[in-house]
Amino acid sequence: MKLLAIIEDTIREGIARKTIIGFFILSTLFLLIGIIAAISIDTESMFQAQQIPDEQGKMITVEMTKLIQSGIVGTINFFAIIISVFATASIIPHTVEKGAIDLLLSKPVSRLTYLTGKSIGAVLIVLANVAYFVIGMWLILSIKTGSWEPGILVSILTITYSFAVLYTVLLLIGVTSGSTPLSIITVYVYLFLINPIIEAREIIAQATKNDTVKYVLDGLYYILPKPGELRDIAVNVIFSRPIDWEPVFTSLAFGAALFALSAYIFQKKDF
Amino acid sequence: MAILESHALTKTYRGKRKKEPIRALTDFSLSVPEGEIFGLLGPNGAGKTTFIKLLLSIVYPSSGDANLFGSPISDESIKARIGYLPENHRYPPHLTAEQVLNYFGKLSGITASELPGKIDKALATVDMTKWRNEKIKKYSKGMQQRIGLAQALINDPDLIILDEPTDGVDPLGRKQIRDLLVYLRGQGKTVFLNSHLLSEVELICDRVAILNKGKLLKLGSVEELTQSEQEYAIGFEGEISESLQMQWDATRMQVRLEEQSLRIVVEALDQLNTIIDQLRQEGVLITSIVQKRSTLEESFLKVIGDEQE
Ligand SMILES: Nc1ncnc2c1ncn2[C@@H]1O[C@H](COP(=O)(O)OP(=O)(O)O)[C@@H](O)[C@H]1O
Ligand SMILES: [Mg+2]
Repeated sequence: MKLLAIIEDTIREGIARKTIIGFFILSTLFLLIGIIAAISIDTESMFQAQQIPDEQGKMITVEMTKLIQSGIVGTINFFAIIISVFATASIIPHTVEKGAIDLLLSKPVSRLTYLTGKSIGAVLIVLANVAYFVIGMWLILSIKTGSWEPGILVSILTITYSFAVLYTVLLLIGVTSGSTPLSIITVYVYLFLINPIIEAREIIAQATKNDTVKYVLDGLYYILPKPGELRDIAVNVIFSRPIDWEPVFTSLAFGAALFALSAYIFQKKDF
Repeated sequence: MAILESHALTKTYRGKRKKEPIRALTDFSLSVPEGEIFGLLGPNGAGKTTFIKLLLSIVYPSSGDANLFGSPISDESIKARIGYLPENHRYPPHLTAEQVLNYFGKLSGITASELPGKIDKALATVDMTKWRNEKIKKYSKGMQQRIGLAQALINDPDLIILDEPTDGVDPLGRKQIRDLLVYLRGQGKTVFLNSHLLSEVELICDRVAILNKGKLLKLGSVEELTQSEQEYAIGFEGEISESLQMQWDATRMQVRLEEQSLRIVVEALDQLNTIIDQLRQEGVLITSIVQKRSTLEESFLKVIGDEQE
């Protein structure tokens, strides 16, 4: 009941602060681009012109659908995470603000419950929006090609999961500093700077021929979140290829550790 | 039974960015019995808010401890029996009065079925029923304070803790708040309030404590605090002889002669009577004797002034 009230309030506040609305407008804009693309590209006449027989045509359509799906996932994964971080970064700083937190803490609700409720609220906001966009894209694509391949829908989960893991960084910075800009910058530095270096770790290690560099990068790779590899899970599902579950678990370990640390700091803090 | 008890409660804030640590409260011991309106007084920065925050575990003590309803303050469940009006609070601007009460009511542990009735009652108590569907961002400071009070009363608390309840409220609003607190005491509730506005407190508090720089300076009823020295004004007709005046000077009586009135400060009543006898012997006609009570404000300034010397 109390947890639900906190989740509900988080979502209500997101709506009031227009972040959720902005989020949906942006998604709708991209969906419209998708619709325009679907209308303007004439696949049927392309097939007819090449005189491809029906059977083969169907197979090609399925493969093409999968290809486009993986292209969409590859493109939106990063974007969706960046926008989601931007949209939800202020939740914790607003909660711990002077003039807001004291009343919350005076109620018979544990600090952990507040942190959990706020986090679930943030993840639900992102889930709703990502689902709206991905399902929208899937419908457009499926109607266009007539091939209802469900693989792309898995990206709803992988993107939300990547976000949830990164959200624990927002949580930690938000609880310690109370600063929205600092929270956003920290995650962006990771996504734009550190993560690309880690993803290119093999190339870098080869180029430097330095074992220490290799070990450090490998170590970081295991510890830190892996939005790229989580995205690859969705791509592999689309193509019915085997899935590597490891990034799911290492990311989970990272998220759990940061959540626990944030909860500990929040619990001890004077407001 | 004491509803609120603290023992040598001490709080030192860690100084931010290499600044000196701040000792906000030092060895503060207090006991507030059930059914009392208790006022914690002190200038800004005295440590009043810190004391309340300690009671509610918004900040944690550096040493000492406190009990509410006989349970240690670390026991979270006691908060279900408390209503709290924070200082300078900003209620979520995007919510209506009803939604604010709904949210904080749920957090207080009120069940969904009881909630609508309690919201109606709380809104009526603070006379905000007609604003229930307006967003907080449209409210004046006084209205925000009333919604704050409604929020503090939503769970029908046994202990109501108010931090500067009349701050920024117009005189009429202050009167309404005072009446409400007296009404609550009548219902058997205990009210603990912080204030730097002494004249307010004087009107309703059963007992007060004066706090300055984190230390308890005085504790007692408003009468006790305002009557430490007794001053009387004696109205008279006639002449007071020079010799009597010199006699008072010689005995170091604190007497001040004004037009048709004699101001005296005495430590005991027999001094007053001695002076009356002397006046009567000289054939002076006494027209009135009025006890001048110092206001709490004067007494407060005196206590704090003594401390500073
Ligand atoms: N969170 C905090 N961190 C550091 N110092 C604080 C904090 N809160 C209050 N103080 C300091 O503690 C002292 C007492 O403050 P406070 O309890 O708010 O006094 P009052 O409510 O009587 O005005 C002040 O010097 C204030 O600056
Ligand atoms: Mg204060």
